[in-house]
Amino acid sequence: MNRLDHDFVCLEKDAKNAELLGSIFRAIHTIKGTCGFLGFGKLEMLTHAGENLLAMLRAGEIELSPGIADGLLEMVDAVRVILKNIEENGTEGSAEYPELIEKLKQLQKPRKGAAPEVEKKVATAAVLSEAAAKTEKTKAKEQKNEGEKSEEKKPGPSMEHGSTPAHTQEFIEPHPEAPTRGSTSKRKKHEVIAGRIGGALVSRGRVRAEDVFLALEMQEGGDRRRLGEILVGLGKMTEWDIEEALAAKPVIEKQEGSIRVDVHLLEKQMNLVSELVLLRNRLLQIAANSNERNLNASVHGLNYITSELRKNVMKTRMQPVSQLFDKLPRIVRDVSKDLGKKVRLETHGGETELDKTLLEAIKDPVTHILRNSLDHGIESPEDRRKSGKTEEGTVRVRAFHEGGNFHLEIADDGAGINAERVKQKALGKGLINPAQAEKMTQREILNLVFQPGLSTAEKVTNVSGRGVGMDVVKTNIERIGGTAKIESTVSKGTIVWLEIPLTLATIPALTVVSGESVFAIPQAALVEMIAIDEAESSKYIECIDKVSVFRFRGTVLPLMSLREELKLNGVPTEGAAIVKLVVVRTEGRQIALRVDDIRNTEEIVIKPLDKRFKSIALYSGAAVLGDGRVALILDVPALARRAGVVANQKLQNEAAVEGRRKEKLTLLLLGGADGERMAMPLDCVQRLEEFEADAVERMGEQDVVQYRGDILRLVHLLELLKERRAVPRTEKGRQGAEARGKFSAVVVRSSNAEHIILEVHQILGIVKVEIDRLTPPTREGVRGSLVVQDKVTELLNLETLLAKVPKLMNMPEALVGAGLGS
Amino acid sequence: MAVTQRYATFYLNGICFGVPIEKVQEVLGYQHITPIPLSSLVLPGIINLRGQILTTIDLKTRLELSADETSGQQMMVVVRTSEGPINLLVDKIGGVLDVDLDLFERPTESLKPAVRAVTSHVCKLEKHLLLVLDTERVIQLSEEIVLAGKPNLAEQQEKVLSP
Repeated sequence: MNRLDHDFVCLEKDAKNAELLGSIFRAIHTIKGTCGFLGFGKLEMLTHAGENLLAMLRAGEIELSPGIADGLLEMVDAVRVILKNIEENGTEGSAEYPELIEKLKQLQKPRKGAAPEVEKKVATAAVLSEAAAKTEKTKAKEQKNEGEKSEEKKPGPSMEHGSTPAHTQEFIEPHPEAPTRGSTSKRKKHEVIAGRIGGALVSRGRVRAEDVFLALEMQEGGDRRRLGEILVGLGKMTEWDIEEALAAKPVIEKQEGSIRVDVHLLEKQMNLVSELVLLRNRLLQIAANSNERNLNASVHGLNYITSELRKNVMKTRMQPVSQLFDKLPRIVRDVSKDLGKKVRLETHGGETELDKTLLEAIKDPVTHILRNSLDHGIESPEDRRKSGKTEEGTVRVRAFHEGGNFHLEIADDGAGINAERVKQKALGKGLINPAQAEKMTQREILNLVFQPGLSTAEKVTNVSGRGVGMDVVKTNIERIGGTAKIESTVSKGTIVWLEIPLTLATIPALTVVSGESVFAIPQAALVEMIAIDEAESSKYIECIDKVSVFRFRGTVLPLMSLREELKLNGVPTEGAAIVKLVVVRTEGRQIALRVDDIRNTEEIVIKPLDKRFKSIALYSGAAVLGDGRVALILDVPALARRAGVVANQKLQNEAAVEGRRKEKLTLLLLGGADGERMAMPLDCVQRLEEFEADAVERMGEQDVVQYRGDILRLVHLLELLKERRAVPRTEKGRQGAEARGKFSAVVVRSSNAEHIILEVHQILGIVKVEIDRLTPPTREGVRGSLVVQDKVTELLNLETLLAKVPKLMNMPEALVGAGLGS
Repeated sequence: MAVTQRYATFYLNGICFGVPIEKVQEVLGYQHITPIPLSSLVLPGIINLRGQILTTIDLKTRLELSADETSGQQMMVVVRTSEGPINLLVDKIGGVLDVDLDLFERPTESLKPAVRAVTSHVCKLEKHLLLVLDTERVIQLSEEIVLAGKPNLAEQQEKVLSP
């Protein structure tokens, strides 16, 4: 049915697509054809009306208009309702659809001439199929299969394919829940038998359909023999024919490549496999301490099989997200039509797979977000035109896997959310207090729309449009261990991100020890484990303004000690002269965690932690380890946020910097020759270096430095800022450095991924600041000025600065900063 | 014939408490509690009960009873609640008592507020009082209770370590 929805919406866009039309027609036709023999009158009438309309469309007698599409979609909805009823209680339900049928008939009006003929043909087809095919289940899927099968047999726009599907339909076993109603049940039973044997016989031309019916009637009349026996008795066929037909049956059944499995059964299986994995882990540890050769060999085998089993069981539960995507065009179409908006839906990554239960769980939230986007995000065509956008808005839904998680992104190019109004609203509702509001970043404010109070309280328009029920979205996503985030730019659009674990089953994790506790870090977040000799550690670990940072392959990461952060007890093992760090990654940034010890990686089953521990917000769950101990699973994103926050708080106390804070940045502080201060965002910095003055070589008009096998250009920072003060590299800026025989430099990466060495006068340190407001810049290459540690500091705009670096003229492409990027 | 209700009883600082027997999943000897760093005193940690992770509530802290009288190994009572099984830390396990429903009284005003808040009935038995706990109310930890339970575990252990 979802396919139908999808096809219809596609068809509307591409009305001439005969293939699509054919596929829709077949689907409707099979539903109609089969409900005929099962006596679902309403369904038949309804689909019949729809089918006629489709037939006309297909014959090119009428053109697809929005009205027709509406009618047809309405029919699909009605069919869906009826099918659901049939599935649940075997009846068509009480609803009647005379108006819809009338409407469908009306829609055929434009050129009525051909209709009766079509009708007749279809009717003949139905009779034919009734005569031959006697068993069917009104499952759209099966029907569709058959529809396709029959189409293969008789290609072309043939409508009387009723006789052909018979022989394929015969072999579909009746579903145990197949509707059986009162007096007809007996008859149906016969039909079933007839379907299985009789059908095979008829299709092989061994016996005529009439004879089968005759035999059936005899059975009904009290003949207790089996159908085949009656037929043989009647002399219509030989026993050999029956045996042949029966033998042929399984061969065809084999074509059915899949079976239906109860989801609960799968769920149970998954749980059992998870437990098995745990048990295997425990056994592995026992075996590791044992010298028993046989035990080790068996455990090894068990290990392998368990892993395979787990992989396979997990696979059975994975479903492509296209199942969800197929439903979206219809929603977009209906909602945008209601609202009088023009919206184009783009979906990407439909093949991305997700656990079935999770897929089910995100269905409603995604629908909701989409509706929100359409309703409040995308503006009306007039408004869009006024603001210089195309009349047609775009909603882009993208699914992908990243970091062991499933990501879904729903982006619109609509009006965006006005953060200020959200803030005012939240203040008005008392969700936040003025002091909090002062401190909140743009992103934090936007994410207030996920707060319950803000969403349901008043009409959407009061809150810049968003937020109705967004709290439900968030709750639902969090329930399955996911996160929801929102970002928006006024008049540019809104993006909602959902991040969901691929599966709720086991995950690989690294176990670490700090204090007396064992913690698990999900492998997906892990970047690297590092051990540094205590004596050497000062080279890599720096403490600047009480903010610890760790130099890691040219970048500088915030460093956080688990022991300090969690206020853990216990003395670190004596003589542990090795600093152990785990670098983790989250939300696009990395942090280093200092731990007492690193144990090993294990498969763990995530067990949810009591909601009461949620306020601590540092653990995402607990897990039972192989040795029976319980480990807390660290919530890496939360830790990273905390690292930022903690660093900031320390900094605040230290520098007593006050005032409102909006943007949070880690800055590299630089000192100029005249004591002036500059800063650049640390993200741009690849490495901090100190070079010997004689390392500088000339190449054409350029200064270059050999650096890690590459030739990198060297530019003096002040040279790039020369609007105010020209600094030839032999003079002022160089003097101090030359006297010392060395100079400090920052290796930065330009927008075209080339590395450039910026010579600086002095590197002062690294600070974390929240930038409230920048004083407008006084020269090019500067974003503005701010106060850092009570000193006026210019924030450099590296992008414009680097653009000014003269291009290398006579240098082979391959030599330009090649190796460093990788 | 008087109607009776069966209670599993346990002691906190010598006071007898009871929980309807059907609410009790099992009684455990002391198990290793995995501490949750930064958690409140009321929630000292989690235990691994045959692969299932159970939250532990330190009942004494929950009822704001003094921890001074704690001696020896505490015991654990796993109770069934609407939120799944929860592990309660108690001093000592009592027996199973059949109590005449006629003996039930409303909790008196004289009880400490923290105790009264989670006590559904009080029974005057021959030798002592039995306070019947409403487990559903016990597991409802408001933000204030969690905060009141602070200082966190680290400081709690310090307290234990430095007499």
